[in-house]
Amino acid sequence: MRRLLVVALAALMLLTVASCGGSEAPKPAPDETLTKSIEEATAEPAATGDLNSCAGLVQDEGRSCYSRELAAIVNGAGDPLAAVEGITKAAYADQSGFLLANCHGIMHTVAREYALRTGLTLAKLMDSLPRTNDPGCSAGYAHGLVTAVAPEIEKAGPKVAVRLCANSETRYQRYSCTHGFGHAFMRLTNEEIASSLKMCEQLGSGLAADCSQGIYHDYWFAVNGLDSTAKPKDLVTDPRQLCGAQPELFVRVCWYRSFVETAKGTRVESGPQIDELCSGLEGLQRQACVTGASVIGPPDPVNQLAVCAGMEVDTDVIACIRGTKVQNLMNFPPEMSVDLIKACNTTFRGALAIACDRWLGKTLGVVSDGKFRTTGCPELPTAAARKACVAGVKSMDGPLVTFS
Amino acid sequence: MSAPATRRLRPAGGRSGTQPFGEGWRNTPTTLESVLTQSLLSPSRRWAALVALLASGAVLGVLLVRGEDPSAAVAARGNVGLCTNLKGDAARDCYAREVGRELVAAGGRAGTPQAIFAAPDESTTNVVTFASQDDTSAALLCELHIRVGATDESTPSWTSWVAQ
Repeated sequence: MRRLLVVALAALMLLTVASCGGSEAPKPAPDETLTKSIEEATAEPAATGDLNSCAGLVQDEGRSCYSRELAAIVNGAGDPLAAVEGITKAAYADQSGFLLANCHGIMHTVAREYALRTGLTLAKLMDSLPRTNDPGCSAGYAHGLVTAVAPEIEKAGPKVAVRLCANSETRYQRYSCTHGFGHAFMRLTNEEIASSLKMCEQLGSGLAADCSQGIYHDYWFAVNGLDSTAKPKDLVTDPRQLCGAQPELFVRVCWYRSFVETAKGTRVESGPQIDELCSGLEGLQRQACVTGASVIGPPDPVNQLAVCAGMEVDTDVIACIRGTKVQNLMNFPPEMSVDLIKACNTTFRGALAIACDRWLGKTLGVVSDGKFRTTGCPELPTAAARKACVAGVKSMDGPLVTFS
Repeated sequence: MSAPATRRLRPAGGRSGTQPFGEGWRNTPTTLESVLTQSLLSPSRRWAALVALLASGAVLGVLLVRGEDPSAAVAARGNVGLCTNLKGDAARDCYAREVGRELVAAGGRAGTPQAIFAAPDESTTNVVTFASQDDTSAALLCELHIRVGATDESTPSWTSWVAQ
C-alpha cells in the first residue's frame, strides 16, 4: 500500500509540473545557480551543432557562438562540403541576415581548423574546395582550407600553386583559390605585407593582384585579432598611410579592402560624399580610394550606379563604377543582372556608358563563368554597348583587382 | 551423461525468502513464471500500474492541449543530426533545411533585424533597407556586401563587424 501511495504521489507531481510550465527547465537551487554561472564564466559551452543556442546573442558573442556551432556541424558531417553548401543555402534564406553577414569570416576559421585537424594535404586541396561561386560562406571555407596548407604551398613553389588554381572549375573559383594564397602567404610571413606581396608576385602578373586581396584581407584579420592571426609588427590602420606606401600594382586592392574592412557603419549615399572621403588624394591613390568608397555604397548595384553618376569628374565616375557589387545579384533572377547593365546606358552617356558596360560585362562574366556573354550582353540596346559588354566578359580571365 | 532434451524454466535470479544469499535459489527457485504471476496479479501493483498509466495519459493530454507536440517542436527547431550520415545532394538539402530551421528558430526568439530587399513600387525602386519583421523576400546577398552596404545609425552594431 505504501508503494501505491508513492506511485500515486509521483503521478500527481507529474501532472502538476506538466500543467504549470513543465516544458521549461525547473529553476535550480541557489547554490546550483552559482556553480552554473561560475562554470559558464570559466568554460566555453560545448557545441552541439544547434544554432538555437545562439539565439539573442549579438556582436562577438553571437559570432563566437555561431563559429562554435557551425564548426560542430561541419566537423560532424559525413560530407563536410555538402554541409557547407547547405549552410550557405540556409544563410541566404535566413531573413535575419546575421549568418550571411558573418559567414565568410566564420568559415575561414571553421575550415582552417578542420583542415589542420584532418591533416588536409595540398594534393587533396582541390577536391576539398567548394564547387560554388558563392562569395560568402563557401568562399570563406575555401580560403580557410588554403590557409591551412600554407606550408605545403610554400614548399611546392609558385608553379605548383598556379597549376592548382588553374584547375578550378569556374572563374570565380579560380579567383577564390588565388585569393586564398594571399591569406596563406600572410600566415607564412607572420602577417608581413611586403614579403607576402613578393610571394604573390611569384605567381605571375596575372595573379598577383588577386592574390593580394587575400593579403590585405588577412592584414585586417590581424589588425582585429581574428582567425588566430598575429598582430602585425608595424600596425597601420589609416588607409591613406597604409595604401600610400604600397607598390602601384596593389594600391587599388589595398584601398578596396581598407574600405570593406574598416568602414564601420558608414554607408556612402552620394557622389559628394565619396569626393569628401577621398579629398586631397590624386592619381591612382584617388581612383583607388573612390572605388573603395563606392563599395560601401548602397547594396543594390543599380543604386550604386546612381551614386557614381553624382561624381563630377569622369575618371572618378569610372573608378566609382569599379566598385559596383554585381555579386549582390547572384541569388536573384538573372534578369536583374541584365537590368543592372542596362542601367549603364540610362545612367551614363557616351564613353562613360561604354566603360560601365565593359566593367560590368567583366564582373558579371566572372560570376556567371562567362555565360553572361550570351545571356546578358545581347540584351543591351546599342551595338556599342553590346560590344563593350562582350569585350568585358572576354577580359574576365585577366586580373580582377577591385573584386572579391 | 547427456543433458535432458527439454529444460524447465531457468531460475530468474534474485533473492527470495530468508535464505542465505547464494543458497536460497536452490531450494525455492524464483522463476519467470512466478515473477510474472506476482507482477500481474498482485492487486497493489495493478493499482500502481493503472495510476501510472493514467498519469502518463494526462501528461500527454496536457502537452497536446498546449500545442506542444514534442516531435513537432524538435522538428521546428531543426536537427542537423539527421544529416550527418548523408552524402551529396541529399546531405546538402538536409543541411539547408535543418540549418534553416535552426536559424528561423534562433532568429525568431532573438527578434533580430534584417536586411531585406524591398520590392520596387511607384515611389521607390529597389530600395534595400532594414526592417524589423514580416517580409518574406530573400536577404540581399553576401557577407561583405550586406555588411558594408546596409549599415547606418539605425543598424544594429553587429553588422559593422570589421573583419570578414
